[in-house]
Amino acid sequence: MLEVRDLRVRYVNRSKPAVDGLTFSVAAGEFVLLFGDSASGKSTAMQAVCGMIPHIIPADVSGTVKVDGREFHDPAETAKVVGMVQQDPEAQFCTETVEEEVAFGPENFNVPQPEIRRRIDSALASVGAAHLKDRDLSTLSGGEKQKVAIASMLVLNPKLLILDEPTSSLDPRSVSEVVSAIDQMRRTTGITVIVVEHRLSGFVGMATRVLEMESARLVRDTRAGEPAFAAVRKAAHSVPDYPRIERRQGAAISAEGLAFSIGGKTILDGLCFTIAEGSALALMGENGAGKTTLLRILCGLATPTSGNLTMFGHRIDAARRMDPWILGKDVGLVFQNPNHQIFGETVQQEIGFASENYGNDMASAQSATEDFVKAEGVSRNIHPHCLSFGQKRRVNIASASAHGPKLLMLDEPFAGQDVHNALKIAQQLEKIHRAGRTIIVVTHDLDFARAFCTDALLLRKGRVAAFGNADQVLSENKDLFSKEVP
Amino acid sequence: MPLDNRPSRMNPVTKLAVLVSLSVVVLLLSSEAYVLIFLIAALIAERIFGGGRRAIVRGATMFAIAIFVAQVLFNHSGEELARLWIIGVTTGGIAWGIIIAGKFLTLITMSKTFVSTTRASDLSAALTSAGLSNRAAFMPALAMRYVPVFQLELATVREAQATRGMRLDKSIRGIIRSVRYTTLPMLYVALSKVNTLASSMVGRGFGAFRTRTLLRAWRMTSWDVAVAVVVIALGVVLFFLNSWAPLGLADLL
Repeated sequence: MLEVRDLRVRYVNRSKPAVDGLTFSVAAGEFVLLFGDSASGKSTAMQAVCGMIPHIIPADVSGTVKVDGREFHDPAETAKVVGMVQQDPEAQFCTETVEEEVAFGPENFNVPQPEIRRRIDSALASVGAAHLKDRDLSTLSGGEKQKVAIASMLVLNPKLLILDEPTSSLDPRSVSEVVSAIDQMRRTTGITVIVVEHRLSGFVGMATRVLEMESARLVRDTRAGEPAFAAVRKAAHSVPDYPRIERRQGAAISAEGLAFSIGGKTILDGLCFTIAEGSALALMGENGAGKTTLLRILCGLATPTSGNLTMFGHRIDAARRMDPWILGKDVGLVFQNPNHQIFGETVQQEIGFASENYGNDMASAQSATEDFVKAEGVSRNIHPHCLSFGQKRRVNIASASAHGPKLLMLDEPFAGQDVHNALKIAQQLEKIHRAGRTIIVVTHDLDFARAFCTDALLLRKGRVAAFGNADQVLSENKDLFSKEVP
Repeated sequence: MPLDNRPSRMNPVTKLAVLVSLSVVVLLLSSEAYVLIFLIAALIAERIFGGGRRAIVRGATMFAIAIFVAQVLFNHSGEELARLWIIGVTTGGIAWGIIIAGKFLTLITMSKTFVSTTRASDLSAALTSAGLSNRAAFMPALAMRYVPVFQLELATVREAQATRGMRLDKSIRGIIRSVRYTTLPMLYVALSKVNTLASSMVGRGFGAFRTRTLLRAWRMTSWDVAVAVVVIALGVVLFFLNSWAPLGLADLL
């Protein structure tokens, strides 16, 4: 089905190849799990397989890629046999409704209208999304969007489907939905599937084969039934050795009846909680539960519509809008997308950005820069955009905390991060916590929440569903976090 | 999200033709009375069919008021009506204020009504049905779809700046600083989105053929033709009235 021989890919202006001499083949009907650390070359290899590299993303490519015994040189021809679903489903949508989006591919290939309608129904049904056909894309949940993205590729009847981190930014319920959809699709269509993932636990159960890449090369190739496969399966369910932190006493943040609504829609509804000073809180809940809105209120970017919030001597309520500039001295926020918050031209400027804006003494920023440069082995003058994805995330954390805020909040810092990078982030947070800071982390990572956090606040449809000791909250709400295929 | 009303169900190409024709007529007007007639008609149409984000019209109104005030204060043509300290308010200043601000507000209001009543996908399908190439037909649709996305991205970048102590003041220095620290993150976010979208579209055969099947093909109905003819004819009549029987400020008063 797929034959890759001595594939080498080197991006323009890069000295090292991103994929170096990759050779493997996949038989029809196999379900392959391709894993490895960030920047190990997984996504690059798959983009070369489906022709996006070099036709859309320029790079020097050598070696051969054959699908169904044929080499393809035109991405449109490749599209007939290989479909690739990328990480962010929303960014790949080019229409407005589910039906239009799924129809887009066959329309481009001039498939007759009745056949398009038949294929839409069949593709949506094979991922369990037939009921979504008439919906607007903007009204779908994260899991539903991913199902539609998969259906929009399946509709072209490809022989090989590649899914690049299909669950990286989804909540556990959506992960479960997508994993079941992929399982259903595989069983009904018998299509060959390659899933690229950092974390294996969701897919290892249905994989017939596991490939591992490291530093641009293939380092492991094992099939179900082999002893090495059992070892991978066991490792997939192991928990990273996250640092543990101590709980402290004293209220840092206290909310009473906190509510927020916009355009008549209630996002947060009467939240009451007290977060202890020096605690590490896991803020959890399904996508759309109100987690990000709560973070926005906590740093002054949104004003509650009723109720109040007391934190570090500030009182925030509907009548008292807090200037984010004032709150920013006490509250640091790390946004979800690293690229939204890189302003400096060097790592040193980036980490010192907030201290400079607040006119603080630059000593702590310089010390944070030293720590970062030493830990990552990079120059202080390197442009932050030249760092790897994991390093960018850590530079975000360093720059949001270097000016000494009492509270550091992070919005899904582990999205798209491999286990090693997640561990490094946890170690960085542990160090920040040791300096006496309170930490709030919006996360879907149960292992991290259970191992690292002292407390957990679980939101459901804008209300507090559970709040208290992290271990207890997570154990008592296990059903909400099931990731297994039902 | 476009509303479900009669203009929303009209062929987008008809609406586009009406919008472009009326915009040209508005731009050619030279009489303040006719500009006001167009503005009132556009505001009524927007009120009935528009919906969506009123903030756009509110923002444009503020800008139009600023244009009007600037004309009144600094355009000294015509007769002087009053004197505010050392500044004379003249008939010419008021007339040009009405004309320029009125044209601006009319164009914004008509465009907003068009956007509110037209789905981006329908526009591209209608343009393709009208014979435009795939790529050309998809461009305006993608632009319409991505404007709110980039607005949201820009707001996030601004928020990230604010939480790290960057004051967004409105001085020239503040604006230059804001542009400096906004351009790079926006460029990265935009390039990443464009890359993903292009890969997704080409990966589904976009551009493989000059033509494409349309799940929903648009054709010009007699209703479309009638509306287009009547509206454009009215616009042209008003334009000729504007040329042959111009109504000035004095006529209005």
